[in-house]
Amino acid sequence: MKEKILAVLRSISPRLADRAIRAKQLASPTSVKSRIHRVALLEARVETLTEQVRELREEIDESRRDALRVAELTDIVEHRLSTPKES
Amino acid sequence: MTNNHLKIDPAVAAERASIDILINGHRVWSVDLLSEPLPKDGVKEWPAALAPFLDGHAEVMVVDSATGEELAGQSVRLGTSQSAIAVVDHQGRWLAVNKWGRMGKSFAGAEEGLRDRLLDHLDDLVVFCESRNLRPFVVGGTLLGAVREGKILGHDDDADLAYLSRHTHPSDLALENFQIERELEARGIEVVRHSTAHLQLTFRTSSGKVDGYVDLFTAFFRDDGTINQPFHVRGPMPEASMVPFSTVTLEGRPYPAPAVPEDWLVVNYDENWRTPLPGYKLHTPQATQRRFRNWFGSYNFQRDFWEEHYESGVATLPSDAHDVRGAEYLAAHVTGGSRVVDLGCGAGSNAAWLATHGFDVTAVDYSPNALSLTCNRLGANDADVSLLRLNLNDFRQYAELLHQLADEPRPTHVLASHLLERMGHLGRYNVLRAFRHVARLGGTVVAVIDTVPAPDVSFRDPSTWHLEVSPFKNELASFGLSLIRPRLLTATPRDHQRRTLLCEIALSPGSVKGSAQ
Repeated sequence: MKEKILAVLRSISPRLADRAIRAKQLASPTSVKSRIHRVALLEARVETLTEQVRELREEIDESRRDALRVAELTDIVEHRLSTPKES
Repeated sequence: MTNNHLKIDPAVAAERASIDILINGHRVWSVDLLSEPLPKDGVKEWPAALAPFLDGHAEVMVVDSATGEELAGQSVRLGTSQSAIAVVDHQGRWLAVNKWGRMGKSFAGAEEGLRDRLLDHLDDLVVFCESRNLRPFVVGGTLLGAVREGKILGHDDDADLAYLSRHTHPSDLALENFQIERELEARGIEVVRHSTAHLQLTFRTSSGKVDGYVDLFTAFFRDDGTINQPFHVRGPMPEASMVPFSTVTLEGRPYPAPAVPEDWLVVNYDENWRTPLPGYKLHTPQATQRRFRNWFGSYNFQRDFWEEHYESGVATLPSDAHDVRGAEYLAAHVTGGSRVVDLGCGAGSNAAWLATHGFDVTAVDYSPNALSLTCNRLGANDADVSLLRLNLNDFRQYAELLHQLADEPRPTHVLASHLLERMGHLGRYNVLRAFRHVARLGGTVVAVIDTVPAPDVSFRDPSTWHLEVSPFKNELASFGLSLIRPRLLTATPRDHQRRTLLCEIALSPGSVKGSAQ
C-alpha cells in the first residue's frame, strides 16, 4: 500500500516523493534514537564547556586580584620602610 | 496614582526623550524614555527609595526634562499623613532619585553658593594634579555640563575630575593612586577610597555635614587601544581624541578636557549624550565591572547604606543597634580593664557599655555617621573611647590595625557584633585575618551573628543578611580558626526570628600558625 502511494506521489512530483522517503528515514526509530543520543552528547558538551568557562573566569578574576594585592603589599612595605622609626 | 505606582498617559510622553516627576514643585525622579519607554498601560512603579516619602498630600506634575513643558498634573493624597509631602533630608534639602536608584541631593535643590564652592575645590584639585604632572581633565557630568550647556547640570550632585596616568599596569596605577591619597590627606582633605582608581574628596560645612564631593578618577590607555577609566569607561578611543587636551568652559571657568570631548562623551554615555536625560543610568557591561572590580577593588561596599542608616540618629535605629550582649559576654570572659577593639562599632552601644565598665576601648567603623553617633553616645555616658575610622575592606588600613595591635604589650580582645554577616566575603576575609592575629597574640574574639535572613531580606539592606553556620565554619577553618562555645540567643523575638548566635572564635587546635590564606 505504502509503495503504491509512493509510486503515485512520484508520478505527480518526483522531488516530493524523494522528500517523503527522506522524512521517513529521519523518523525511523533508529534515526530518532541516534538524534536523541547526539542531542544528549551536545548537552553534555555544552555543560562541560560552561563549567570550563566558569572556572577560567574565576581564575582570571583571581589573577586580576593578585595585581591589587601586590600593589597593596608593596605600598605597605614601601611606606613602612620609608617611615622613620620612632625612637 | 497610588502609593505603589503612577500612571502616565503614554500619548503625553510620546516622542519625549525624558520626563521629570515633580512633587510640590521639586524634581524627585526622572524617567529616561529612550532607554526605557513607558509600558503600554503607562504604569510606572515608584522607585523603592522614593516610596517611603510618599505619605501626605501633594501636587504631582509631569514635565518634559528638556523644555520644562508641563505635560500632566494632579493633586493627590497618599498614605495617612495630613501633611504636605516633602522629599527632603534631615536638613530639609530636597532630594531626587539619583543614577544609583538612591535618594540624593542635586545642585537644582541646593543653595546658589554650593556651585561656586565646589568649583573652587575643583580648581584646587586641578592645580594639585598639574603640579604633580598628573594630566587632569574634567569628565562625567562635569564635562557633559560644560560641553552641552556651559553650566553645571541641575540634576548633577558632584564634580568629576580624572587624571590621565602614564601607567598601564593595575599595580602601578594603584601605587600611584595611594601616593595621591596620602598627599591629599596631608593637605587636610577628607578622602574616601572607592577603589585604587577612584577617590572621592569630601568637603564639609563648619557643622560637619557633607557640603559636596569631588570625584577623582584614574584614566589610562591600554595597548589594545581602549581608554579605561574605572568604574565605567572602557572602550575604543584613539589617543588623539584625548591629548593634547582642549579647554572647556564651565560657569565661566576654563577647565582641561579631552582633545575631542565628544568622543569621550560617547564612550561614557552613548550617541544620545546631547539629549538631556536626567534619569539616565550608566549600564556598565558585566565584563568591564569584573575587570575593574578585580583590578582595583571595591572598598566601600554598602557604605552608603550605613551612612544613611546612621544619619537620622539613635532614636530611629532598630533593636540590634542597642544590643550589648556581645560586650557583656566579653567582659565576663577577659581580664577587667583590658584593651578591646569593637570592630564595626555602628552606633556605639557595645563600645560605650565596655568603656563605662572600665575597659580600654577602640571603636572602629568605616561610616563617619556611625562614629559620630558613637561619639554622641559616649558623651551621654561620660565614657572615654578611641574612635578610629577604618575601612576593613582596605587591606592597607587593616594592616595598619594589625601593626597597632602587635605593638600592644598586653593582649587585645576583639568584639564583632553583627559585622561578619553584613560584609562582602573579601572584606570578611580581612576581618578573619585580624581575628587570627588577635588570637595568636593571646586575645579573645567574640562575635554576634544572625544565622537566618530577615523575612524581608534584600540586597539593598545588609541588616537583613545572614551567615549560615556550616559554611562559616568552613570559612573559619581555611584561616586556621574555629567557632567555640556557640550559643543561640533567645531573649527577644528577634533572636528567635534570626537565630542570632553568640560565639567565640579561636585558633583551631594544631593550627597555631594558621593557613596560608
